Amino acid sequence: MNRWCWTVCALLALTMLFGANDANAGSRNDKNKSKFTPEQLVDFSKQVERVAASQGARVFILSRLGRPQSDLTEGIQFTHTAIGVYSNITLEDGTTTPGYAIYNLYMKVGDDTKSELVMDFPVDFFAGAELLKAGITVPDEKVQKRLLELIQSGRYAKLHNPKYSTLSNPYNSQFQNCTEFVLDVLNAAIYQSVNKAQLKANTRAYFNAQPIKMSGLKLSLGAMFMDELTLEDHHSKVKTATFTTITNYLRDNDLLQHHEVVRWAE
Amino acid sequence: MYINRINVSFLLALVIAAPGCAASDSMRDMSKGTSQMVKGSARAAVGSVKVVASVVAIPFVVVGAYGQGSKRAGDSMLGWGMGKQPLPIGDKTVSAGLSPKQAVNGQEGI
Repeated sequence: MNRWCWTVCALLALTMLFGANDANAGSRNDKNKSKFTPEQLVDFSKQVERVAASQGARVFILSRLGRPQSDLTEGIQFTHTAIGVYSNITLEDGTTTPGYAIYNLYMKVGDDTKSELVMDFPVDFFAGAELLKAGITVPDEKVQKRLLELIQSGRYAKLHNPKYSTLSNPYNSQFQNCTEFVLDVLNAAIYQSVNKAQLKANTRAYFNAQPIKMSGLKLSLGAMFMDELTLEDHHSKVKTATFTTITNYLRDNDLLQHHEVVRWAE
Repeated sequence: MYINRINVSFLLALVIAAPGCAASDSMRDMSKGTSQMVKGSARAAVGSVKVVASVVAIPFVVVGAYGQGSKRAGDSMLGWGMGKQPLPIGDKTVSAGLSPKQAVNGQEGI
């Protein structure tokens, strides 16, 4: 193949590279154009609330799938996790209604390396979903009560680390993603402490994170080109907290009341 | 030519690798948030769905969790003990209001 051919190939590859990145960014913008109709989002959100309420859940862990299944690494079933709290919601007209408020860590708009804590509601939570599929995990009553006390007191916010990484290592405090934040809040409730060093020591001792089954080269290249991904906090195998590993953690410690995956049913 | 081959291989590897690192998304809907779309569409849909904005959400206080002297806004809802009995859920669909940035700078389409 002559030099001209290689130049064409290089240009094609560059086009594909930037095309792929655009597609990635585009999927973010697509969140502003939900894949689902308002009726579907409202119906599904209510369905999820009713499933949690049917279990008497004052506090539960909620997860959504916000990326195409084909983009996910092996072992990852959900991509965003938060905490639902049964609340008395005051509306603009002054009336109140019972329902769940969702406590999230979200990537900061305009800065993929930072996060912020945001409270929203199920219909907001699922607005960016790729599939109308929800993971619901209800801790046992004692853990729920401790979580409620922690959230009601506002002390849960002390566990927020605004340095964001999509594959943050849950065994240290260098970076944090949404699921690690939920794990940290859960552990703070379990141990009734917001001492981060102690909580991370306990996490290392008792929590089994999800290994990311991807080649080191792919991960390194991803870290080079994705602002929201760094591997600085990983020292050997890359592992991260997931909705499933948190559910397993509760189950292994006899602290799980209920677990269910809800799919949208018309 | 050898160097060119390496470059092309490297670039193709990037194409394959970069989008495949998805294990988490912690993104919320942005300035034209989907929830706002829901609200806007809801109005257009003549009541087929109705989404209302919240002012505040206070966790229901669990009996025994806080003292009787507490002045929290949720006190009026005291009486929900812990347990597995089903809880009521309101029919209204509630959405978060505007972000502070949107409230200050305006929000298209609302």
